[in-house]
Amino acid sequence: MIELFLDRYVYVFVLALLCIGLYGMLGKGDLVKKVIGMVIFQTAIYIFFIQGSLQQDGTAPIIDPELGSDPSAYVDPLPHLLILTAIVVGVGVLGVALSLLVRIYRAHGTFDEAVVAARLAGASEPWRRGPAGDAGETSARGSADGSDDDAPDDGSPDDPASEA
Amino acid sequence: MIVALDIAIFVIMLLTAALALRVKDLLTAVALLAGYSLVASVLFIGVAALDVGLVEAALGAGITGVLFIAAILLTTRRSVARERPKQQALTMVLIAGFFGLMVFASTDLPDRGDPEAPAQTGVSTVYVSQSLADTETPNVVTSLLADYRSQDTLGETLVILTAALAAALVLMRRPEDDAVEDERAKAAVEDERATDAVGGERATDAGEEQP
Amino acid sequence: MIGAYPSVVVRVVSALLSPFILLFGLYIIAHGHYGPGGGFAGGVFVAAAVILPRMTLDEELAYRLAPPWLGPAAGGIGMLLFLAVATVPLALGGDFLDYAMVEIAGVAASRIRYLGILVVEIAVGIAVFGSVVLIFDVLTGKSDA
Repeated sequence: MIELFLDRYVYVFVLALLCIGLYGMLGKGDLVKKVIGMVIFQTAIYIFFIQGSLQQDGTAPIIDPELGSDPSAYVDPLPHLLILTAIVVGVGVLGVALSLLVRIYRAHGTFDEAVVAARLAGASEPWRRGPAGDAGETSARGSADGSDDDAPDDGSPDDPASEA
Repeated sequence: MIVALDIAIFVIMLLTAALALRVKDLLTAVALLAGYSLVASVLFIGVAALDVGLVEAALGAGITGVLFIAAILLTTRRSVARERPKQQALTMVLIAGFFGLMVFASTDLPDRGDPEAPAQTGVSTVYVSQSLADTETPNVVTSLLADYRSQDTLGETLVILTAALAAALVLMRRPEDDAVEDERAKAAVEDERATDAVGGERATDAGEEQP
Repeated sequence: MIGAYPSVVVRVVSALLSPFILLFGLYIIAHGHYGPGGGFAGGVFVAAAVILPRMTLDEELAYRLAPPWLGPAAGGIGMLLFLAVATVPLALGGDFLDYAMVEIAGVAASRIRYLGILVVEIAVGIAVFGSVVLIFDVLTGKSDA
């Protein structure tokens, strides 16, 4: 049992990290938290790849004159290259995601996924709703209800009622 | 690679990841995320992936945090996650299914550090044994990056440049948009206040955390 | 982005640190053949040296040190340099990106590949530097792009 754990513990931890990242992306209502979940997921994937490159008794893939060019003395360099470029591309993806977030906040003033989805699917031009207060709150409910038909990710139809 | 150290690092990563998703203050979450990436880079160095560790420490722990902080300072540091029980239950079922499938699939993966694993006997043995003679470059990752697989690198460089340009296009402000967007944002903020006033204790609590 | 940071310690330390980060980034780019590093890591360090003053120093000073057009310009120049290096062997009758095709009298083919790697690393470093700075600049709303 201990032997099995020592051979396999990396997979267990990486899977746990993947699940945490997935939970962040699917279960969190805040858009920034979704992006954080994405970064956690990405890093777990990097760890999974790099652990695959490990070789018992292998050293870093920089040719050492004393060890010669024997491939069995070094770890596998190919996953290192793939993950190196993947990290850089990951930051590019993050830049696009963050600029979309800034744009969404500029347009809607919130990071709450349900509110943004309700506004996008609900009444047209919701920002021309008139003064805030009772009227604003009622129309917010109205638009949330209207979005339930065509917004499958908004899981609970009686959402605003349960909140209030 | 010391097993106890490895396990300690993994436990720290689990804790920081879970906390980063849990805290209400987004700046705290980003700080935890940077710590998560830094610990991951230690893990990479521990399995002899020096180049990856260096890039992860610079990009994952450095630039990622900087970009997040820039975006958060421009918007808000308050997390507005409201609990939605039905959706949470559905997500949990999905994640449990994912975990089960992955555990099932991982039984076919080779043991850790197995010298006979398919990845160890493939094309990379040629790269390691030929790199010094072909390119006079001792660092095999560099010769792979810029010589053997330079088309790959060309594509990746194009991708990150495209991503930067896409970010610029997304945030580009046209003058005629300004008035509409400002009005919209103002109305949105007022709405947010109105919703918060009736939106239960959670939102109000989060609001008070902000200094 | 957020103007001069209130604490003088932070301002002085980041102003002092920034040139050394720049130097370290250049070292990483140049040293990629013999140790960990190369274009990607070095480009990110150089970008960090530019971003650090933007986050802590006075806005006008930071953007005089590294103007906002630097990001898109460096990104484009790096990419074009990479493409130019890639097409040189093509023009001489070889394959795309096959530096060994370029023949210089008295220089071994492996040496030419060595130099080709160096140029590609520098090109990648410039492109990554430009891209990261451009992403930061557009996020903080200071870019011309």
